[in-house]
Amino acid sequence: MHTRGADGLRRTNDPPVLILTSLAGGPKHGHALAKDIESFAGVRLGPGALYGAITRLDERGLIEAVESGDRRRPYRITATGATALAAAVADMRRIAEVGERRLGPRLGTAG
Amino acid sequence: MTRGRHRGDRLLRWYPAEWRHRYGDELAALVEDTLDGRPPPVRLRLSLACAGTAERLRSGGVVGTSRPPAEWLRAGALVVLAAWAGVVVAAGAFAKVSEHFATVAPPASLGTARAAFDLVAAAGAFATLSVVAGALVAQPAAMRFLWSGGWPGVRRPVLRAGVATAVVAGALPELVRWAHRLDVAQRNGADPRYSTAFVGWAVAAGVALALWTAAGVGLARRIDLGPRVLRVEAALAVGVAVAAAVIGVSVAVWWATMARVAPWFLSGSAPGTRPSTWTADRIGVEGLLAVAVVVAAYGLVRVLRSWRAVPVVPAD
Repeated sequence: MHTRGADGLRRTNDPPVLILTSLAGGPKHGHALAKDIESFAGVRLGPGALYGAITRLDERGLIEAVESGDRRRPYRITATGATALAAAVADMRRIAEVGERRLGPRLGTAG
Repeated sequence: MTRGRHRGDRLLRWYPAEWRHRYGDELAALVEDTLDGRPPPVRLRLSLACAGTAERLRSGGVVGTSRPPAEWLRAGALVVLAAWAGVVVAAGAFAKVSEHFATVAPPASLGTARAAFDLVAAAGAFATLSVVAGALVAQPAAMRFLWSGGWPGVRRPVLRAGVATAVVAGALPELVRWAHRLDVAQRNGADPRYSTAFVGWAVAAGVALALWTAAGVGLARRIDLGPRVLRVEAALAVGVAVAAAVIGVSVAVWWATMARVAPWFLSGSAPGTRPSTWTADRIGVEGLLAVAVVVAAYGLVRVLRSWRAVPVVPAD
């Protein structure tokens, strides 16, 4: 059973999963988020895609803006967001474990 | 304001105003950071245009599920209205193409074409009355909105549509006078100057219709309709969507029948010849109708999916 917030958080390259994963490491503003995501996932999110996902996550209460006088407003993950991310990660882990088991020795051949 | 900031702000014009009010500054700052003083590449412009348009559609309830069901219902009805504008343009071109079709072959062979043509006329009249009824039902709410200071918010699109209509209406008498000085062949393409003027006028009329539709949609999005009126509008939209589908199918049947019975009529060739009937007229009209019917079907689905979720009486 997943929370409503976990809906749509199934693929590892989903912008919402990437943003939640990045914010789980601490609050960040848009540019820092994009840089962090590129460094840990190799995915370059454009400003349009990044803010589309930020809007959805913000509306669903999974992230929230941190008060700031700067135009570069940072965001942080909420408790609901952490729960949703945990559910998504558990899902991904379960799939990864099945894949690992079924691939067996062939897993080592993957680049 | 710095040049970079101005540029960032300009790139965000695709986004709806309420979204820009909440996130615009942050996104403009991100764009500036991403560009680092360089001019914005086409890819970034396109990406922001797509994302902004998607946000506009989402905030209007046209796509996604984040808006309340009443917004879906309203958006679905407005999508059908926009599709109907496309049907009107295509039907206008169809009316021109089909002029005098009943005289080009024996009546017995044109039964299907005549039935299809009559169906187009009947469905067109029904949908036009439905659109007019929808406008009348919404009129009190629209007047309340305009009297309570809403006019500045819709002034620009209404004035734009009004100017376009004045141009179209002003050119019409001269075009009619010109047409009366020509014979049938000259009116139907033999006089290139008249043909160019007529096509230009038709395009201007299409633009005026599109501008009025945009103004109407803009106004309808702002007014408070209440659940009962909203349901009436949605029911009328269902009728218009069905009429659009009937027109789309009937026009295709008419064209197929005429292509079999009198192909020369469709291509302007000598009677008795069998030229290709896939003319620019046919491709344009049937293509536009196909797009309009698909858009109307999307609006219809949106209306039907949200219908039950909208309360019959307003919640206090």
